[in-house]
Formats: sequence, C-alpha cells, structure tokens
Amino acid sequence: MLQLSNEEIVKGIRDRNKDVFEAVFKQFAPSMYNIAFRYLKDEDDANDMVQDVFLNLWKGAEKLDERAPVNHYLARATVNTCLNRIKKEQRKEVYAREQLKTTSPADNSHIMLEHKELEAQYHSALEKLPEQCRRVFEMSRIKGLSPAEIAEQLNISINTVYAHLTTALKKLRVVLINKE
Amino acid sequence: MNSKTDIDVVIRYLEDPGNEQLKQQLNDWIQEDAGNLDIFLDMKAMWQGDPLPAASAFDTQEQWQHLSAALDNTPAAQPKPARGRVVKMNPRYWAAAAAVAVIAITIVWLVPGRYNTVTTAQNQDSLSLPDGSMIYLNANTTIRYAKAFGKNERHVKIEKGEAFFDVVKNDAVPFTVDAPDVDVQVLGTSFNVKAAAAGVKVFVQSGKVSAAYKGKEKKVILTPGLEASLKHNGDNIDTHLHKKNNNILAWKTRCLTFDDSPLTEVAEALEDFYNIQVDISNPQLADKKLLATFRNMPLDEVLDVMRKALQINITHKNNLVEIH
Repeated sequence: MLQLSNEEIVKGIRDRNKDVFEAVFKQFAPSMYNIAFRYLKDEDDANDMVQDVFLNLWKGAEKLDERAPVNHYLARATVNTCLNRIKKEQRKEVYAREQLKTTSPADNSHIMLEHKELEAQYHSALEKLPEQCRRVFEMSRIKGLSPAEIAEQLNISINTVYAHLTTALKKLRVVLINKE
Repeated sequence: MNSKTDIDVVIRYLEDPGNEQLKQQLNDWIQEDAGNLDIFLDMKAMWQGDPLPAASAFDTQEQWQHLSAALDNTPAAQPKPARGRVVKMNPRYWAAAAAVAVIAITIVWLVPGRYNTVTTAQNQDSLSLPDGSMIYLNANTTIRYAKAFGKNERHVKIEKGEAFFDVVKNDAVPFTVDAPDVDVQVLGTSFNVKAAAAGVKVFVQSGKVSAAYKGKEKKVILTPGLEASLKHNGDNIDTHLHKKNNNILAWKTRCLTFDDSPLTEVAEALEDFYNIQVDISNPQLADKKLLATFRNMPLDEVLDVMRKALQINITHKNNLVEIH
C-alpha cells in the first residue's frame, strides 16, 4: 500500500496517475461497496456504484478540491450516487418486485452447510472480542437496542458505543474474510 | 426496508458533529432501520480515513482490474484549454496598467471571491499554500488568504481559532499573519497562532517571529520556545519561555507530554486537547505531579492512567471532568 499525504493523492488524481488511483481504490472501495450494498441490496448494483464513482472521479479529476481529504469526496460521492440510483429504481419499483419473486432458489443443502460453518466462525470471533466491546455489539445485534439506549444502560457516551461497534465490525470482518 | 432514502443526514452529521440538531436527526435515522447503524459506522470510519474492511462479497482485486480497464478507455471529460497568445504591450499603457495594479492590490482583500476561505468545524485540516508553506488548522478555525497569494505578498488572515504555520523562507516576500488586533511577521520559520476570545497567543517552534498590536510601535521578537500573549483590548505583551516538553502543539502532534507537570497544568492541557472542562475540586491535589506521555489516546484511557498513577478520583460525564 502506498503511503501518501492527501496533497500527493490529490495531485496524483489530478494527473490521472493510475498507481494513485489503485491505492485509493484499494483503500476505500471495499467500504464504499458495503455502504452501497446496504442501500441497493444487490451485489451487482453495489459493484456498479463503486465503479461509477471512480470513473466520474477520473473524468473530472482536475476539479478535485485539494484542501479536502479525498475520503470525504468519496464518502459524499457514494451517498449521492446511491441516492440517485435509488430514485431511479423507485420509478421501476413494480418491475423490481416482480423480478425478486422470480429469482430461482439455489442449491439449498450447500447453502445450509456454508451458513452453519459461517455461524461457527462468527461465534468464535465474537468470543475473542474485548468484553465491553462484545457486550455492546450483542446489545446492538442480538437485543436490537439503539446506540442511544446502549449508551444509557451502560452509562457510557454514545461515541464510545460507536467506537465499540466499529472495533467489533472491523475484527469480525477480518476474521470472516481471512477464513474464506 | 428503509423507505426513507435520506442518508445524507450521515454526511451532514459528519461535517458538523457538534450540532445537536443533526445529532438528534442521526439518532432518529439510526433507529428507523437496523441496517442504518451499519451504514453510519462504515461512513464514519471512511470519513476518518480508516475504512472498515470489506464484506466478504467484494473482490477488491477483480473490481480494480475491471475499473483499470474502464479507465484506459475513458478520456478526460474536459480537454485542457488551449494556451492564450502572448501579446506585447504598447509602452504607453504601462503607466495605466501600473495604476490599475495599485488599485487591484487594495481590492484583493475587499471583494469576496478574490480570496480563499478555509474553515474547520470539529475536524482538523491542513493546506499547502502556492509558495509551498503549510498551514495546519485546529478545529473551529477560519483563515483566509488572497487567491493571488505569493505573487507580491504572503498574507494570511486568521479570523478565529488556532493554526500552525510552516513557512518557506523567502526574504524578498515577507510572510505576515493577521490575527484579531495583532500582526505577526516572519521570514521563514514555523510557529503557532491561537486566536481566542481573550486574546492572541503566538508560539515559535523554529526561526524568528515578530508580534505587535495593530498600529502600535511596540513589538516583541520571539525565538524558539517563546510564547507571546497579547490580550484582547490590551497593549501589554507578556512573553513566556516554555520548556522543551510542552503541549502547545499537541493538537497537531496528537501527543501530550507531562514532565513532572503540576495537576493544574495537566488540567489545562486536557481542556485544550479534548475540548472539555476540567475542575479540580480538592485544592490539595493541585500540587500532585504527573510524569507521562499520551500518544493519541482516548480521554477515558488518559483519565484511567491518571487515576492509577496519582491515586486520585476522577469522574467524567459528558464534557465535564471532575478531579476530587
């Protein structure tokens, strides 16, 4: 991974330097995909969205503001591109619903097995989290409490709750990806 | 299913996390749908430049190759503008041009759009000026400088807040900083200017800097380690020599160092660094001394170390820390 300052990154993008694009893509695209997937609920759409954002950046590279961190640009672009796409989708909603119904069921036994394995990995990863971090994560995911409620019950600040959840997601995702 | 598609509530919160109204909107939005919290956490991590790892469905390498091929086939949206022709000027226009230039220089500071304004909210920022000098901005800071910066003058105005300047030496074009009531002039050096409601503080890390009240003769020359305090509506300049380990630039280095510092000094540094209020309710504790270095540590961890090292009670609620 290239270690670049924001100035160097912005300059590289403006010059359409592909090494810099690659470094930025590899650092931020996965996270952008996660956000897009939660919105668009479709892997292909989420992949397209990430490609679109980077293609647009390439096209208008010289307009990039050198003072703002490039990740702020990418975060905003992710949001805007998702919202535009959802607006477009809502117009076609009727068709989309029909498509959902017709998706064919895949090989069930295989999926069941994969699911079981994944669940076992998930639980062992969960047990390795620091205690307070795990407690916060479980309150959020298993009990379904909101961050504000967790903060109140544990008498910690809401930002601490966010920090614990971020740590938990980070560790769980690393474990689950590496085992695949 | 989240029918409400308003994710930019997240962006608006991240841009201004101190805003209570946005905080409330964000919390409401998070409660609306279980998936929204995950969107927020991913966005927040990304905003801070430390993104969360990918969900397993994303194949980074394959997607990069896909993009790479697309980039090779995508031309830039706007071709670069063609160079203008250079036209020689008739000598008799020079005088007129010079007169216009004098007016133009005055106008630079009056017409909006002729200067760049940079403002930070809760975030820090840095920028590189056209002459290669760097400015690092602390949170809640506004500075501005002419778009023509560096050509005939190097002038930066700090309207509020705190900034650290790392100035490229150029004797021909002095670098000046204009703070409320105070002018700071430098040749080539690095220094910190803090413009608070009570007054302006100038601290020099390297080189030489002069500071003076606007329109006054009296000025101080500051050398490394010296800090000048110029009170708002005052005419007295106090200088104070800081020891080598001080925390004036901690907001920038993210490192707090205490070298047998009395608790009152520790409290002050924590107040500045974490933007909180620290009260020492038991005056007997003020003499306790702390020897510690905290590198980019969350406040609660710092307080925990202090509790154990100094055997004191500390309570922390919201923005108030009480030592008793």
